[in-house]
Amino acid sequence: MIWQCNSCGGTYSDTCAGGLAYYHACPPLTGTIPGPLADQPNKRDENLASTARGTTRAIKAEGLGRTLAELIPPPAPPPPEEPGIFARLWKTLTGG
Amino acid sequence: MTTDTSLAAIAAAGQTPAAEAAGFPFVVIPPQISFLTKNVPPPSPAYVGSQDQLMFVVYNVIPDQTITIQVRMLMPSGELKQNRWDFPVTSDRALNCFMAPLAEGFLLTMSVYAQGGSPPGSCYAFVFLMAASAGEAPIAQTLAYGYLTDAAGLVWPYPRWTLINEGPGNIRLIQGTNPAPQHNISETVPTGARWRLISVFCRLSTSATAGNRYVGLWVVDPAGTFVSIPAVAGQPPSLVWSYTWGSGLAAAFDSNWGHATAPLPDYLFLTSGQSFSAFCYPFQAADDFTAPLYLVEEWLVPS
Repeated sequence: MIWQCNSCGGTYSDTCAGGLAYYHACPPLTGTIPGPLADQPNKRDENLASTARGTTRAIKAEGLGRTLAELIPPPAPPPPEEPGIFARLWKTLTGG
Repeated sequence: MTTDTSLAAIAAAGQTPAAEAAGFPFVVIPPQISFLTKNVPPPSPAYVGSQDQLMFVVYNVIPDQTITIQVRMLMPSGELKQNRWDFPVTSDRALNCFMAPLAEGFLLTMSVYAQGGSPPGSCYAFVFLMAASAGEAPIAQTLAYGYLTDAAGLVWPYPRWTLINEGPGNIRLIQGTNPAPQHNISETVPTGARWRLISVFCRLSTSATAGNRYVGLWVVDPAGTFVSIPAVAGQPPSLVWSYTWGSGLAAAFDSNWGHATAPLPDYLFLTSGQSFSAFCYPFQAADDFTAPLYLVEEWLVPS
């Protein structure tokens, strides 16, 4: 899905090639060169606050939220994925 | 032909082999070690108590990934038992932890592998033997740790030890956020990841407002900018230019194509929370960057 960030106006897909997740974070404010990089007000940062055990998987900063800009139709089923060598061996042995 | 068995039989009988009789000195030393044929102890250092468990810790970035664990055990009755567990894991680089109960016996072999395709740097596992009676220090033995890849899983005994930031990483081409007009590009290393930045590509379209725009790449830590790489030419109004930063590239500009290149450090490693930013100065109204396309090598790094 394509989202628009309500904080910075940027648009992005939440899924990268290969199905890996993409985490948007707002850019800093435009400044002078080589001026300091100031975060914009209400910065949105979708990266996880922590990956440690027992922590809630909340994002770092909600900002002003995001809006669905485009609903990408589900892609056609991908070709059968080539399994790893152990999975292939297992299937060979079990006939599964 | 004389075999070892017959030599031993000759030695036991106090006889000399035919070779010594022919003039060759020949000494037969009977073996000092003999082997049991009954009540043989198992060839495994991992005795497992009835309350002990296997613990699996997995960090993963591949969607819809399932980890499979198989163990082979020798039970007190002498029977061989094989068991298998399938654990689905999350793809957000967060910690996944699973426990697998074991019966009393000897752990003979163990293998762990990923069901889905798994390039290096994308799925990492630890396997521990947990002693239930050990209170606050329950890890009795580290059995294996390393990346689960298409070519190799984890095995025990004789595991292949690989640290989480060791070896080749996952090569990823990522399309970042398309910023709103008059906003710089900024891409942040995700929580739980480590990147080596290989190349960055983007385009800038300038409005008709007079004056050149100057584009560069900043690499930024929360403490401040620590790398700044400007392009070599200023972009005039009402044009679309392409910019590429890459390892091994020269600082150059092609006026026919409107394409500027600039070098990146060969080993530009970035940790979680650090970012890079393609900036434009001075930004004029309606100047607009495209979404960047960038190539990184990625490892998992728990945080």
